[in-house]
Amino acid sequence: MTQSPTRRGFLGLVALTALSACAAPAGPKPGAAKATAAAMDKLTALVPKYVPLQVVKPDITSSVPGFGRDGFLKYPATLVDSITAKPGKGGSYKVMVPTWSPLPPPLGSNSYYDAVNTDIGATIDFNYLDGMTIHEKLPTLLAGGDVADVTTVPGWALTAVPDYSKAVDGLFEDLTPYLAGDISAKYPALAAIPTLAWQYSVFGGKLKAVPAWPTPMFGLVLFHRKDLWDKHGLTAPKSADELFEMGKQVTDPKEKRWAFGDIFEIMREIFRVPRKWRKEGGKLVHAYETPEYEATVAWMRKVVDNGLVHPNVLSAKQAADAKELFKSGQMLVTSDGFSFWAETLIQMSKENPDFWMEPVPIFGGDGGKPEYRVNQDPSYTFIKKGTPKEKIEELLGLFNYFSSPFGTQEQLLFNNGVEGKHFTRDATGAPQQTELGPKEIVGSYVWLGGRVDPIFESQAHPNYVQAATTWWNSAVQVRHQDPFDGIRVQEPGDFTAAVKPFEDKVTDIIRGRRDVSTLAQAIDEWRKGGGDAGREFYQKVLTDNGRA
Amino acid sequence: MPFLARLRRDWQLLVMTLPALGLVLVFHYVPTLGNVIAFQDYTPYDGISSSPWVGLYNFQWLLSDPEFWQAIRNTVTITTFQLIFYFPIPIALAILLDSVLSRKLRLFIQGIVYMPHFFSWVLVVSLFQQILGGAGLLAQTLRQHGHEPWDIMTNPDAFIVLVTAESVWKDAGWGTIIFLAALSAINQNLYEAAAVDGASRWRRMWHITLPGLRPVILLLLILRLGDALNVGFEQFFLQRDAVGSHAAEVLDTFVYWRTLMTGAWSYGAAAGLFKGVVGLILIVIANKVAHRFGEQGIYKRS
Repeated sequence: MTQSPTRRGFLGLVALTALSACAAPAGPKPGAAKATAAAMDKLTALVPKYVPLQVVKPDITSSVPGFGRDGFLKYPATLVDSITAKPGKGGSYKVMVPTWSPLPPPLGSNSYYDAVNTDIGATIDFNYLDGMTIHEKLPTLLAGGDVADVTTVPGWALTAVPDYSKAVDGLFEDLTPYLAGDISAKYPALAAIPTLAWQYSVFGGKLKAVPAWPTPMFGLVLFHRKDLWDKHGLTAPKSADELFEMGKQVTDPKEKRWAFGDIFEIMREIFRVPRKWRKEGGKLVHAYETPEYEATVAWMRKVVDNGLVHPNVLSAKQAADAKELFKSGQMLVTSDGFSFWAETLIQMSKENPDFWMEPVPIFGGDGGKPEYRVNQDPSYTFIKKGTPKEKIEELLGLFNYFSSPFGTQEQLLFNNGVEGKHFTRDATGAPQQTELGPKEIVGSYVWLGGRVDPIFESQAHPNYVQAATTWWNSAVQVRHQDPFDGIRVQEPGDFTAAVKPFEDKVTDIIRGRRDVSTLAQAIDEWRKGGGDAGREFYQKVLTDNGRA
Repeated sequence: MPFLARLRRDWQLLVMTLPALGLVLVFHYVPTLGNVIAFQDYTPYDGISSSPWVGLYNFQWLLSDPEFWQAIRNTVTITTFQLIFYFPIPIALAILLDSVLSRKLRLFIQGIVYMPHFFSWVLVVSLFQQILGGAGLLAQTLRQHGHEPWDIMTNPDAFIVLVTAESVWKDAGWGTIIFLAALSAINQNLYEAAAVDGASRWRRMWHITLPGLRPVILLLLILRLGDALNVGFEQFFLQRDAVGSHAAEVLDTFVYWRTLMTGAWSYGAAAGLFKGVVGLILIVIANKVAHRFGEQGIYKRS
């Protein structure tokens, strides 16, 4: 680094007014917003110095630093009380976090909130935003500008908002003065958040957020009902064709059993379609333009034509009841986030002791290796602009508290609630939820800090931790390498706008309403509608970052 | 009477309208001013004051956008179809209900047909799916008996029938209320007199009931025409992927996907203004036509 750390204006920001290529009107195309890009590796001076903090030793240590995850087969015998003084100063905050669970009872009639708020010495009142529709609500929410004292949003939802960097700049407080440099003495748990996650939290040259969930995550995992799979005498597929044949064998509409859910997106990864772009001889080729993409579309169409997809998935918006269909065995293969695995096992272990699901063992569409995509951008916890200095410091103290890692008493409290009330200890000393537990506790405080969580689950199937850690640590080894890894990009508006019309056409093809051969024409329309403008923009980003 | 005298006479009445006027002003007229962003390249972070003006370019883009025209085409087709196959149903249902003599039975039927109005579209669509969907009641029963079920929920060609059926099931009952009120206002003596003169049931309906309903039918028809480009949002939003955008993209969903989701706020406002102007023109024409037929319509120059 040659720049002086006090200067903030050294970002490689790219502004490009995307001019439309069409002949039509001479005026600017609506929504052709100003696109920007920022590379993470230039931001070291703005973020906290990384000081690791390990309080207990894991049973399984990951082999891939930065991407793998440790595993705990049993709960640590003794917990560390890492924060002795109350971090709160009696402040009261409204906090908005996303949730994918039913709403818990509100503050005042929720003993879990009371217990945590008492321990931290501050009052946090949660307001939940439905995670299933967050990407649809967030644009209007941010445009309206009426944000809570603290707002947490997943990175993928934020970057889907048009003009998000302007929104972040206008709505949220700059945390650089509080957090840049070595903060390990003041906020030891925050200092232990990996640097890349902090770098992603820099927006427009200012550190704007505390990263939540700094672990790189798999967006989607291809799960199957291994118990039923075995019952039908099926083995692990080695290619997409084998998966198709197996799907054909298990599908039986008379028995109300179909093989697949909405698995198009994850199949793209299995067919090695790049996330957005691939570099071929110095030129950028978009995912849509690759032969792998066409192969995935053709394969999906074949699956739909043979009636292997559950009809509800085809007739409902975004497969609203896919989870239930999978649990009840009406659908054998589905794709969902990694956390769906543990959640489902916990729920189903009570209802059906034979229930066992796991990811379909790693395979590639053509029999080679897949390329699983790992999301590196974390979720972001923002503080509202205009919050006074002492309040910001109080909040950062609280975020440090909620960043306490696995194996601390703090983590046990904000993750599991109160012993005897929300959980009891089983024979191995691991917390087991009581009936009240899941009613009052949904992911709330866990959003307010960043921890690299190891894999541990006492309530799921006993085989879970071993299976999950093994799968995770082998899947990260075939992760997709993106030419734009570590660069946060705000795309030109017409490039974003071209996506939906194209994907509508692809949906038409997959669902049998258009012929596969029309894909080429759809790609052509996409190129004219903004695809080529996007390519130019991205090409320039590569050049500007010395990666061309 | 001079203005001041009228004011002195009616001032209490005028004061009573103030709250309503205030509401209209705050929730209708002031937000309407926001439509100026249709002539700007607007971003909410810059605000109306500092977003650049672009004149009519948004409209030019809109009118040269094939997807916009596709959405218009779908919307108009659905409106026309529903005008013929949906609009008369509440009238028929109301006449039918009116002819049920037992008060208890009538209330019971009314309760049943009103209820779906209070269901959300999510619920209505999933109910239809549970019954008519590919894994629903009908399909499974057919399969049990060795037949191949046909495709109802995901067939783009039948989509217009499906959405109309859903609308009828959900709202036809609720739509009867206004007609039932109009029916109860018809002078019963007319029926008696006609019966005495030997008019049959059908003739009584043709010569008394329908003429009695005519002003209300025309009023609702005009209002419906003004709403021609409004066929609802949620119903189409929820079923868009099932039948594809080609069949299910209506003006409102177009605005949602093409503008709100991509931050092209001005473009969306332009589409909204276009819709409003078309609605206004249709209302004015329909009202003129109503006057020609000697009806009151929805307004009249005094």
